[in-house]
Amino acid sequence: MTQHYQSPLTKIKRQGSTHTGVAHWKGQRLSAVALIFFCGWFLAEIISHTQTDYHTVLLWVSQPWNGAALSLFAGLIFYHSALGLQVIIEDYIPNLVWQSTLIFTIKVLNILLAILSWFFILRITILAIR
Amino acid sequence: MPTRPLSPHLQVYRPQITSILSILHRMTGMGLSFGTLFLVLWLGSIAQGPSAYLTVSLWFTSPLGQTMLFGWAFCFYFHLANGIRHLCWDLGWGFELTSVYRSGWAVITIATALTAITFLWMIGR
Repeated sequence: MTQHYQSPLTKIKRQGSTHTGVAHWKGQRLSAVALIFFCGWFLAEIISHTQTDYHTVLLWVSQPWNGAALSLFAGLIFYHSALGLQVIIEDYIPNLVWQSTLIFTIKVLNILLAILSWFFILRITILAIR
Repeated sequence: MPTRPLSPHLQVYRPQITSILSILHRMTGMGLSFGTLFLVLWLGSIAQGPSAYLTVSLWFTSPLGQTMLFGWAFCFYFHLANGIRHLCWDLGWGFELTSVYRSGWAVITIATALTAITFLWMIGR
């Protein structure tokens, strides 16, 4: 267990380290590494797919591997983005109430956009089948 | 409550590659976060149907759209290169001042080069 070298007074005053926050740091780094590969893949595909007609794009997204990669790509990007924006907000907004509200809103927005992306990919797959 | 006077900081501190690249990493990150909205827009247009896709495609190929994509491309390449630089630091590599400056210039060169290559390739199509 973690050892807290605090006097009882400082413990009650909740001073000192919170002993949390590594998960944020780790998640940011791991999603960054994964995103190096996914972004490379996505960019390569996008650049080779510009000026293609609707049908081609539809079929491309509806392929299981592409859809799965896109879904994971979307999830990772919104996760990485939310963590990054959280750090920025924590740095520049001193008021704790505004901080918490903004961070919460950003997280909810990113979750919403991720789920929206997944629904879009699902819908594209269904459209392609028809 | 009267605000006390502060000594100048941003006005007098000489800009260096360390500080400039650091804040650029943050700014490109914010730009990329904003760009995720367009990713969803693009995906949604495909899901909505051919007419929606056509509208979004026309917007992306318009001068404004192309400019934004170009800016986004630089944001992406810079954030990618500087991000790898950050990850190297996390592993403990490249902390000497000479290394920091060299990797910094490498990041700028790579990011600009990749953006230029992408841009030229897109023009060629």
